[in-house]
Amino acid sequence: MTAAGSVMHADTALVQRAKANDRAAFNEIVLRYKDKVYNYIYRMVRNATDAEDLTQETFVRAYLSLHSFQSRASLNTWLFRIATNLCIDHSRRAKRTQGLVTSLSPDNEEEEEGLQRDIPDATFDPQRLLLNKELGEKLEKALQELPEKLRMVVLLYDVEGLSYEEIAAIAGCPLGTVKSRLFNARAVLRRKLEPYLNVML
Amino acid sequence: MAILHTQSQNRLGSGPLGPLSSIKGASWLCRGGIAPAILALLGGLLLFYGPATAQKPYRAPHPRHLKGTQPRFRPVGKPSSQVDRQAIALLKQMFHPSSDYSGLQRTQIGDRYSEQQIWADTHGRIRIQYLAPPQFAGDIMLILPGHFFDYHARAHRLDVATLPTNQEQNEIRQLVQGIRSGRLQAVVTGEENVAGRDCAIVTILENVPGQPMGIPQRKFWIDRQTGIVLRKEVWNARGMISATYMVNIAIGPEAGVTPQMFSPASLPRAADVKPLFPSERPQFRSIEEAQPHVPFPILRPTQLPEGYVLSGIWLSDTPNNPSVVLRYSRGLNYFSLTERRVLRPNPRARYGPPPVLHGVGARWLQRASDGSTIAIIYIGHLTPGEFAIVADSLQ
Amino acid sequence: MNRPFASWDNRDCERIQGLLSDYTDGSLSARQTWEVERHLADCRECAAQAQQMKVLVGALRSVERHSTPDDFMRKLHAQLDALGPVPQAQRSFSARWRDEWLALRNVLSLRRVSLVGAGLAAVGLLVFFMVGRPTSTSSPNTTNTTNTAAHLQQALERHVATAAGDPLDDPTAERLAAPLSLDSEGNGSE
Repeated sequence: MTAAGSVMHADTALVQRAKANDRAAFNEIVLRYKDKVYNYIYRMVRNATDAEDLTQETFVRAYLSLHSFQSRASLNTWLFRIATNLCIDHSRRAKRTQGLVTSLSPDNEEEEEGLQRDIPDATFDPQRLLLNKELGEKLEKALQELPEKLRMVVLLYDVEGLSYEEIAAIAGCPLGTVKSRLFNARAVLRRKLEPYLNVML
Repeated sequence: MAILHTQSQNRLGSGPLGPLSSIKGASWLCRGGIAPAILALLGGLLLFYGPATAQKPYRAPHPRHLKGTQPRFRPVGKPSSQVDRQAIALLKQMFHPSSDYSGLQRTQIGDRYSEQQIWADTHGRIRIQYLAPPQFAGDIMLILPGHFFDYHARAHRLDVATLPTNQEQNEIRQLVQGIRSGRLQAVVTGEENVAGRDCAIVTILENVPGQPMGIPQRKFWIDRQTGIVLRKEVWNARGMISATYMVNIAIGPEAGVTPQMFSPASLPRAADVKPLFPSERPQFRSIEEAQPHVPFPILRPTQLPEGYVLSGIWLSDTPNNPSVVLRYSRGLNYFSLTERRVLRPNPRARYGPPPVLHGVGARWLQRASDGSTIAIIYIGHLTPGEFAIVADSLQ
Repeated sequence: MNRPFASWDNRDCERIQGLLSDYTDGSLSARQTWEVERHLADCRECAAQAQQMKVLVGALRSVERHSTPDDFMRKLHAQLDALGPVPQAQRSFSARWRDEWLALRNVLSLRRVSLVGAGLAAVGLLVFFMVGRPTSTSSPNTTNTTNTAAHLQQALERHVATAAGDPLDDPTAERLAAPLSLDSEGNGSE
């Protein structure tokens, strides 16, 4: 059995018990997934307090709709989908305060066409600083600046290690869209971080 | 004016209007008293809203289904070049009021009215506490982003709804698309002082050929300073349906608005809590998709008043007797048909819709093709003529 | 490397750059991989981009992992406790109803200072508590008129709710209008 396969197998048993009101089993599920979910939500909503609330909410909703969860499906995908929907809701509510026109524009949060040219920081001196720390900081900032839909895919694929199929199921979009969003997200990040990426590994 | 309810119109559509094309004058756009187009603003709208790629192309009605003497509405594919910039700015203000407020509000329909104490904050949260009439006294509505609570004191019942999270954005988006395409128009039609506040009156009109002044659908009295709506009216082709207005108002800190008043925890305890929509909201894309989920043939109108499209189908989750709700909309107007099977119909019950619609609702029984009896509830803002088109073609 | 007759142009670069993301993931076919690597051997610009992509993906995979705060589990279980047991389909109707009523009382008496908390937790709890619950007070034994009334109420209330979610609509008007016109219909009651 593959690693992923054995995870699913173990999850299935837990889910069965959790569905039967076994609180300890549900607790175990939470322990296994809470940090992954939190890590994802944290970078989606970019705020620790909101991330904690939304992570809690993810598991409360999971608890309440366990009965409708098909054991054959992936717990991972299911939890991330709940989390993703919560993040989207959250950001739409936040947008309400940003002004009518900008919040209405369907293209506002997307830069999938017409990616802007970012000029890399010309004052960067590769010799001066410890690379990894600086790259890490700049990367976080660049991630924050990504439009929501692109950020979602790169977080799920590169950071959380989910597959294209899982991400397509989570985001509710076709596989091709996932691939192109990942491509675009990485292209944006690469351009923004170019000077920090020019090192020998 | 009826149009054939074709197979494609059984599917969800966001409206019959096509994407924005070039700006040209058209004879029916010349109305007295309306300011000429401001191309920059229109260009701005174009920039922001882009092509309406999600909309289906408008299908012109089949000639052989022409009914009545009303001229057919044919969108010329050219948007109204008269966009009232001030009206748009006021609407923007309305969607983002800059102050909390509270006060006494009255709602009037004909000679009936209800009275409520209302509190609202700048996030769009509203608390409405009913004072009158007696059957409503003690009821409380909480309107929150994405959630709705309605406590009925007499019935000790709490109705709860999770609204689609982007519903409000969709409504605003529909308005904007309607304005862009020329079907709707927002115009400043006056100024008035309501409850001590100077307001501009913005009317949203529907453009219909043969009606050079357009048909009002909504009127808003918008406080120029804060964007708060002091009065609003809902209209249809027959005239004003309802009015809701502030009798007195306090604005800002003196309104006494606190976050706790919008929490569901502040509602009285109810013996009976009912979700209004299933939490997962099984939205079906077509009646055919929904059909397997109910034990009766879904009745649908084969003719619709011009411009109406099916905009939502969902099931109620009553396990013993599921009902299906079909919702049709055209811009700001909508109506719904709620259907369920009746197992033991009253032998003296009347079958068929009322010959003339009075008000905003009607219910009746109808036989379905498999012999079962279906109870139908209509709710909406159709005129009696429009209602007849729908109800008479239900099958 | 001496390749005097190598002939590629900017279109090749564009094409190769389009493949670099998949190349970094190792998900190209053997043939495409070979094409990419052949181009990278000759093209400094694309080779630099490929390297950058590699570093980027590596950095993404090793970002700092955030964890939930220490009291996360405690808070979560407090919320779950407030819900009471999740009803099973087999339990009796009245037992289920009693449990839900008790759980709901607890939920509605929760006081949260943070509005985000109130907005998400209390509201989310309240609404999602309703998943799969019986919604009608009628069981097969109640009369048809109760059924009718319940369905009618629900249909009307849905309109109120939908109007409440629409900034252009008037929920108090919907609430006032429909019952009046439907009651006076006197139409087809069962």
